[in-house]
Amino acid sequence: MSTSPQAALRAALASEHGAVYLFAALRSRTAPGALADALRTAYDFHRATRDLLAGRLAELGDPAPPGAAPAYTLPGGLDTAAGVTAAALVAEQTAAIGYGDLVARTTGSDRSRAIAWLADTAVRELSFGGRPTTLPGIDPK
Amino acid sequence: MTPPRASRRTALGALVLLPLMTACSGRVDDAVDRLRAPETTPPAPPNPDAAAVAAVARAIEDVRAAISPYAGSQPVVADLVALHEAHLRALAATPSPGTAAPLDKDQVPGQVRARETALARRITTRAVAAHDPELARLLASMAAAIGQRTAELAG
Repeated sequence: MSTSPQAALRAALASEHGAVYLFAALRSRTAPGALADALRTAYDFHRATRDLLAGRLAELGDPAPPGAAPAYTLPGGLDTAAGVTAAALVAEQTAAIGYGDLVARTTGSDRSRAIAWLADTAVRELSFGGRPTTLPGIDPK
Repeated sequence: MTPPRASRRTALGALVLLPLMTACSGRVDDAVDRLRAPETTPPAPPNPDAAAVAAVARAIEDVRAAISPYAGSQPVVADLVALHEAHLRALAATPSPGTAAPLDKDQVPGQVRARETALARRITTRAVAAHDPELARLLASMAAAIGQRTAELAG
């Protein structure tokens, strides 16, 4: 693995900023109900993960951890519940692959946290219509 | 008395050829040594994850053996059996029947969930400690896959 653990943590933090933005946007387009609740759970998770990663990088003395971009490009088709659900599922599947990378590139407590995040995210995929897979978080490509 | 011509030629030839043969034989010996080199190469260091992989495979086999008789009770149990078989293949584990600790027939869903949760925890512990980053990723993913099914079992 070519990247250092700190570089992997930085990449994960950059991804979390995007996930927080996306789930906030998805929530704002969703009426109260089961989907809104699932989006809220995902938003809270990614926000907490973002904060943990930022804290960890500060602990490691990172002088300039990645910040959030002013805006991110949203996927199309968010005008229907089905489109929102599909976007949420893709976001969670992408996040799971990111946590898998983090598992491989870190050790100790950083790896433990990444394993827990992967497990949580794999289960959350189910709330957005995902089906259980043989190896969640491993890119099949 | 002068030696016969042939004998002198033989003697001269021996003087020239002897060191040459000796040199050649040294080269041949070197070449043979090189050919034999693999025998003298120190063995590769043992895989530091071998014991972990074997332990995970055993744990999976045991759970699979315990839940297999109940595969017809719920689709998710059949899915778990298939999942464990796929994971054993991913670990390249030698097939083994496993040791089945029987389940109580009246509490199958709860017991399957408990066994699977314990298995995922064991796999997670091995993932944290794995030396090989790709093995860590694989084990973490396997534990997450079990978590997806146990979530369905609970739901």
